[in-house]
Amino acid sequence: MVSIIMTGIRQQTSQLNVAKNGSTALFVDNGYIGADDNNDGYSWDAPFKSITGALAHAAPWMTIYIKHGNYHENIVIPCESLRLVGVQQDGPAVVNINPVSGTPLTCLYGYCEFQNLSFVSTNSHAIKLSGPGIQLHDCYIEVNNSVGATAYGVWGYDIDSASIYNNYLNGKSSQFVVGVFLDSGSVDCGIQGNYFTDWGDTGKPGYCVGINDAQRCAITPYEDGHGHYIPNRFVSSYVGVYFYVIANFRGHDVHHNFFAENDDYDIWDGNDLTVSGISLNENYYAYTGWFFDGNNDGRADYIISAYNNYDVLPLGGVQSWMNPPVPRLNIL
Amino acid sequence: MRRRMRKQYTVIDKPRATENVGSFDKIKIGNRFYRPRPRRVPVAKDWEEK
Repeated sequence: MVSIIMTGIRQQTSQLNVAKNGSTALFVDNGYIGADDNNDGYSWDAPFKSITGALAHAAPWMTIYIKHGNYHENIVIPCESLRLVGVQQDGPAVVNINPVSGTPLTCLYGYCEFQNLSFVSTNSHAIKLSGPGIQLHDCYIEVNNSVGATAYGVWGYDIDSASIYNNYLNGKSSQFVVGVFLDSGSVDCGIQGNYFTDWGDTGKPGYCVGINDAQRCAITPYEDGHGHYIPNRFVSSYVGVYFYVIANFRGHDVHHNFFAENDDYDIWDGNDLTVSGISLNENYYAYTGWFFDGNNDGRADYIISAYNNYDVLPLGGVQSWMNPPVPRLNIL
Repeated sequence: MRRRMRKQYTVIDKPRATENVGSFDKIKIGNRFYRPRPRRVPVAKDWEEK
């Protein structure tokens, strides 16, 4: 009986605005009968019908909660420090943002956060980001490209200190696609714990991650706060991580990631090693028939070539980097 | 054993998917690679169009 009452109280409380961030929260539910963009949007009983309708009333520090459904919208973020929260990125409660054409999400303001959303685009970029401190996590990002022009899952255009983590990015085996593309002076970004699949295919160029004009990007595992490290997984694509060739210092880290079933290179770096500062280290390559570990330290005795660069200590297991390596001499 | 030690530290290319298991024909010798560059995905140009 008590539990029934508690459940009822919880359900009613969740309907109230005070349950989530008070007056700084807006609610969107296009499946609700009374949903209307003329509502105040302050509770689940009077939600906006569209995300765009909520954004018309958005101001910095607000959080916009979105219930599941298909939202055929091209979302453009109007200010800094907004937070968009969906229910989940997949399954029956997915918040699916899939416009008929064009880019599902454009955010040119810093310090915004996007989580538990699904962005699906056809022949267009899925997400365009510019500005500092943007967080994008626990989202599903899909690009299906059948045209000659390039389409990106996430286009980072001068984004600084962005965190892109725990997302599922699907390129649908189409060509001229890149899962996360960093460009135009993006610095200090983290790409962590994401799952990339089907960015390109045999004979169809596509990259899970493409790094062009950017510096100090960390492509590393996501630490979940409980000591678990979730690696980026680069699977069933044409190239996993591709470094476009530019002249200046870059200083990226590609450490402790997982590669499997990629058609061409897992990591490709055509830059001059003496100036690029790109570090490839202790990644795991899930292919059979190559691993040899004479000193049993969990690292292969081979070096994996990434064209002009090398993974100097490829791993025998995806978490083997947690054990200390044995120093080697005469590596190259 | 000596042969094995000599084989260590060879630079090999990416281990290929299942059909090519065990045949690392694209070996780097000196600074030369015998594996071609991947095809390039052109950089998109339409940022301003939104």
